[in-house]
Amino acid sequence: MFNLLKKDQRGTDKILSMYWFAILVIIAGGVFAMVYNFYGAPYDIRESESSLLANRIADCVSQNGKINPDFFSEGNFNSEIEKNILEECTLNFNVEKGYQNVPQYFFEIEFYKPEDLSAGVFSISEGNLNWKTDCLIKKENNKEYERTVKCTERRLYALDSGNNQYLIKILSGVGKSEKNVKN
Amino acid sequence: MLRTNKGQIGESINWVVATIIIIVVLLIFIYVSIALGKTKSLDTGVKDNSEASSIDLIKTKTEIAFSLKDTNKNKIEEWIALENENE
Repeated sequence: MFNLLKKDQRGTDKILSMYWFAILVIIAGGVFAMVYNFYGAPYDIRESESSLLANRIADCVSQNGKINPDFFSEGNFNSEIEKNILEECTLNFNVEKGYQNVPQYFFEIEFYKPEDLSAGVFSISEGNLNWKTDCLIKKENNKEYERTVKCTERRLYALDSGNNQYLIKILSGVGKSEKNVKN
Repeated sequence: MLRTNKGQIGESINWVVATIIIIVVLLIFIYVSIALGKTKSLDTGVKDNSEASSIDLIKTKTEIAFSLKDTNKNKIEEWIALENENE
């Protein structure tokens, strides 16, 4: 009888150690899943990226309160500037492999006169302007909103060389949702 | 012998319940880690919305322009305040 109990005990110990091993594997798997899920999720840096783009454009357009003279030609806005705005502002829209099919950035610069703020007097744009309408989507807490382009609108005031007042609206946007939003 | 069996069943039930609790707690933590992973974003503070904004490059540009000419200042400031109104 004593031997039988001892044998039983040995069996129980074996099952118990197997159970502990199984629990250990489950917990390790759980910790792995938690770390993988948290650190595997990409950081969404598009808002910061579009904000930096807007700042860079503002820096290019206005220096020391004056609009960059290259934006003017013979007292009027230089329509040729749009063709080489990226070079003028030392920007490029190069992206990593896999994102080259569709331009992933865009920006638009609009100039207004204080006398008429309803209509701009000049505008320059570059990049994927199809995304401009996405900037009007109200902030929502859902997956569809997360995937839309992230935009930044900044407004500033500057003068031209003849001290004429201009209000400048800069709208910049960054796509790259595949890279910044978890599927 | 029967008593020993009863004890073993009781003990087994304890372990089963403990296992279920462990799995449930793990699943909750995994769900929370997924939810926290989705909210990850970087805020570089490039745009400071606070009143005492001293690092906003664009606001500084406007202030410099106002120091050169401040005609229509109120109108211009109202227009600038409307930025990001669509967000």
